[in-house]
Amino acid sequence: MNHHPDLTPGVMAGLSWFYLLAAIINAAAAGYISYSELVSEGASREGLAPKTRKMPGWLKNSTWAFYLFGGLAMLVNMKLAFWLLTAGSVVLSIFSAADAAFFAEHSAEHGDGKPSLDDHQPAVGLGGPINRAIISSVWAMCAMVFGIMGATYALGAEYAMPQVFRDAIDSASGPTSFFTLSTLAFIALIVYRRFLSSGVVAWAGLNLSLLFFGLSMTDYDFRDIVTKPDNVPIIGLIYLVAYFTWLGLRRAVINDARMARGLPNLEELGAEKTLTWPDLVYTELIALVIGTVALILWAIALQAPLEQPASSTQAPNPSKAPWYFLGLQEMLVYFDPWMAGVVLPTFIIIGFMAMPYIDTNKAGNGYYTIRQRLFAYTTFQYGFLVLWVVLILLGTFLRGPNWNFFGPYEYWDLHKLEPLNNVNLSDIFWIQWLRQSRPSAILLREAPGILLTVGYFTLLPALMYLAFFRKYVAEAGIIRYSVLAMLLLFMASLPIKMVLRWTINLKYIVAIPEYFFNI
Amino acid sequence: MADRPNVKDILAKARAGQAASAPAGEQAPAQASAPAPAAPAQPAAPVPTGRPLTLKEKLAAAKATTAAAPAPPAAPAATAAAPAPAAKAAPAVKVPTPAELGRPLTLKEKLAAAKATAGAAPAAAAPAAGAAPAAAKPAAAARELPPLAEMKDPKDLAEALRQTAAKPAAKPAASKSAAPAAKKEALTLPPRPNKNAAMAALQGTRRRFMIGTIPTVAWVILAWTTFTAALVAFSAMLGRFFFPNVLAEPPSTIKVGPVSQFEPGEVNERWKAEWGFWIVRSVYNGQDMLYALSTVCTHLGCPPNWLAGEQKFKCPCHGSGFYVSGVNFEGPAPRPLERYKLSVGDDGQIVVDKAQKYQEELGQWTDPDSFIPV
Amino acid sequence: MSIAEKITDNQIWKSVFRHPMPTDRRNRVVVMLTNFFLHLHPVSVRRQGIALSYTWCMGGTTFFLFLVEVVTGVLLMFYYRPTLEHAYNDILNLRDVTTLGILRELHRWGAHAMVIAVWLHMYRVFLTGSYKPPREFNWVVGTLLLVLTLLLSFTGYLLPWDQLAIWAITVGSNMARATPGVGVEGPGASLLVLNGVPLVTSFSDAKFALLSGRSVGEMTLNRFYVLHCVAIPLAVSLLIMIHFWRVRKDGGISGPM
Repeated sequence: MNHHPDLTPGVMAGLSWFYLLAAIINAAAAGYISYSELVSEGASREGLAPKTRKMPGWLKNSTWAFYLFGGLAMLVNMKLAFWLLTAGSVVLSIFSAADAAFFAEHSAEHGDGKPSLDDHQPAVGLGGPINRAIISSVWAMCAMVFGIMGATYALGAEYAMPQVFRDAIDSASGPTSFFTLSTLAFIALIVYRRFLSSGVVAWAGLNLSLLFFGLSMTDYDFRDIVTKPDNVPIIGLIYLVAYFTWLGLRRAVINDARMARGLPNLEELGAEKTLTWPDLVYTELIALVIGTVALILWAIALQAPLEQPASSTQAPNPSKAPWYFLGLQEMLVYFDPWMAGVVLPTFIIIGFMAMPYIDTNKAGNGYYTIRQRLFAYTTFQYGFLVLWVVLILLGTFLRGPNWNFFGPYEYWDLHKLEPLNNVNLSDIFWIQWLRQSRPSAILLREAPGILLTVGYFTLLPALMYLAFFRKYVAEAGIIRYSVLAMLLLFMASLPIKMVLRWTINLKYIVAIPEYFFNI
Repeated sequence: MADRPNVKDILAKARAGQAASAPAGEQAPAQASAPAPAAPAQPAAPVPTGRPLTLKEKLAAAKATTAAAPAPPAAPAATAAAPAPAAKAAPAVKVPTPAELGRPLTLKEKLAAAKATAGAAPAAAAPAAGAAPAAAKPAAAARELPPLAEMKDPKDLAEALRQTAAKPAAKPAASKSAAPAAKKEALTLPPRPNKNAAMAALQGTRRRFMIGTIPTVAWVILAWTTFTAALVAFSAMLGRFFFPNVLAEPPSTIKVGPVSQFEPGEVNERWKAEWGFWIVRSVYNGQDMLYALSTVCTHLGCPPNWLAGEQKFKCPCHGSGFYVSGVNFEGPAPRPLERYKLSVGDDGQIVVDKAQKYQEELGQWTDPDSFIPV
Repeated sequence: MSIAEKITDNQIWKSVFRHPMPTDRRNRVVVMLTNFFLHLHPVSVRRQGIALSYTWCMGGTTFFLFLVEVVTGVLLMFYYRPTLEHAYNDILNLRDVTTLGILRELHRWGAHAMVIAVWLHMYRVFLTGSYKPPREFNWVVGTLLLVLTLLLSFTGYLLPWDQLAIWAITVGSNMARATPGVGVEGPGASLLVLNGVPLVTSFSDAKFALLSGRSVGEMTLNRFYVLHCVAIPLAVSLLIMIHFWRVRKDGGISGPM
């Protein structure tokens, strides 16, 4: 199937540098944990991690000198620089782990058994102290593994992801499993947020994602999709959204724990005023410079795509909307254009605008918290992460020719056959259940679907009221509740339609093509 | 005019006598209800005190007066002036209203009535304004006043008025109807037409009020309706602006050759690129026929590709699949592809007319123009 | 007299800046009040309000990227002609012939980044609950800005006039055809008939107005060009002004209320 080589010299060189970078950041993490001098700042920082973690002067200076030397070496000889930096990272990680172990032994002999500042003390809510020796050793180990992998590629060993592994992932992935797993992952994110918001866990996750990405890049098809110029921002989007989701989660967890203990939340700690010049103005200036440099580098490194001149007869296969609309395009699989392209986007926009007026919860204004606004937080985050970002990823990376689903390592075969024999609810009701032909009168024919839809939008709000929203209605009034219920039901209609499609191959609940009215 | 108190004195007294003014109100309720728009500062200003009053002083004066005699708006003064004749005779009795008279009082009558009530002191410049200071100055009740004709200071006028008004009010004071009676009396303050600008203004207001009430509202409604209508019309025109009136599009008919040119089961793609249709020869509903299928997918307008191996049209954009007949069977397309009109010209050539289309779901594929039987 | 003094100690310099370098507290306050660009900010802000771990710096990044788009967009307009004949070749020339050949890259990647930054900004504002009173209306303005950002990006997508452009716009604009009531293939449109004449046809529906024709053509290119370069940027500028002004008026950078 696959006619292109998985590994080329260029790819291997790229991968060796990629793993070197991963090794360097892990070595730095090991050194940070091992050598930083933790300084407590007294009662004013109650409940917070010690703020100041200083690198000892000798380490700071030698690190800078080392990387400067490496950078200069890059100008002379890339190979030389590569080996220098690899060696440096390995040495740093070995030393870090060894020294952390020594300190641990030392404090075990001389300490009183209680956690001291030598142990990593996270903020309130993020669990107990972390053993400095163990964590430092783990990151040092990661650095060495990455360093060795990079060296392997640099030495010309052609190691690609095992085909068995790729096939397993491909066969396990599909729109159903992808969406279901995303939803489950989201639930896990909220339920296990205390565990996930720990820095150690996040760093482990980053390492895993780097390993996954590096291994996947050895696959031609994966590389082909991921390195399309227009898809590169979406890789950035994944990491940015993941990082900021984690950051928000972490701050919310800390805040919730602090407020439960009666401590002021993180945002209240910095309530004192500071002059805009220089504090804010210089921050903006630095951000501006970083932004400009990043954008220029990006523009030099990656050429903007330009395909063949427009032709009104030959559509490329697949034809995709701009990436930020791919969530909508994915909805088109399940809904007609008037729903997916007009009604649902309109409701998304209206929903956004209505949000401040239907959310009558006064708590959680201006600070991160989950506990005080669990419903609003999870609903919005599910909409943004799963129904928007995940669908964009699905549409970008996993939808190939003819809008068929392809696994991440699957060849985009133009002739992939996917039987899509979907049936309407009226077929199921009249032909399968009642074993008679469908009535010719439209309304009678579609009566089951129409009743179902009407019931969905009338009975369900009433049931939801009885089950969950009594207090809300008493507080916010019936109008707010009606708007909220409509928005929720429209939001839920997408997953519901998805599940119906996957389970009973349902095409339309109400199908009146005579008037273009299909739901 | 030597003993005429200047404004300074008045103010001083007013400040000192704020509390003292309350009993005056009890003694002569007329004063308490005397219409006193917060005008005292106005007449006080031109008084030659050697310097203009400061705002503070004016406010103090105004406060002092209004404290004693809460100032109702000026309008009642004018309206209540009308029933004056009755008020003099029997202040406690309900006075005839214009309605009882069967017609509105004329200005003359009103003025006459007012003069009569005022008795010896008809020469008031600004009765409403004057009455207020009077209430604030109960101590000066016995003060000698200059002849009315010579009166220039509103305070003096007010004093005169107060003395006049207090007499009729004294009698009914004990009775239950003291308050209304006093009100009537107080309201009979004498206007003099030639000087009474305030009165004239009030009359004018009232006339406008009577004439204009309903029409004014109507005008406002009319104006806003017109404005809104114009806005809607303009928006509609602006909307229409975005629909071009002239289109540069190719003619809608083309000759595609004789019927015999097409093989059974053939999907001819020659006209796809430029004209946007396939000529298909296939068996549909048991009949071998030719038809022209539009290359516009009924989902979102991409051009499907003919996959001869799988004998189907497959849309690259979202994967809709159509049988060779054009009927949709997979993917999101909601309905079959459309057919264009076919006819055989005099020269035996098939003519495709893109202006006319036939949709299966509307039952139009049975139309004899939508296909050519072979 | 040092060179710095020579530059600053004269009437011209003083007429522009009015006061010495903001090195002491007084001048740091004054500079915020007298400088046109800086007076967007208050004189002082809450320390947590400008902490990066709190704001993520995404609102400012979005504005920065908008400015980048304006500047690079204006520069691109000098060499780009929105006609079927020239559009594609002008884009090629902007890459291969024109000096500073990365302008289009800057513009395109900046646009992608701006969409991401707007989302993240909105995400942050939601997570901190900063849309709650008194900031409800500013959230609404922000939503409009989000929609306009997407529209800006969408209209710009057509301008290179390559295969990617035309089919993305074809797919996108065909949704307009399905708008209920006003699109020829939207539900209800076929019911709008006056004296037997259908009111909504492919010559009078929403898609026709959007594309200025029945399919994507030269008039569409022109229409999208005007929308992309003039109409939407003006609307965005106005809304940005309102958005910033309301940030100040509704209590400054958000924080615990």
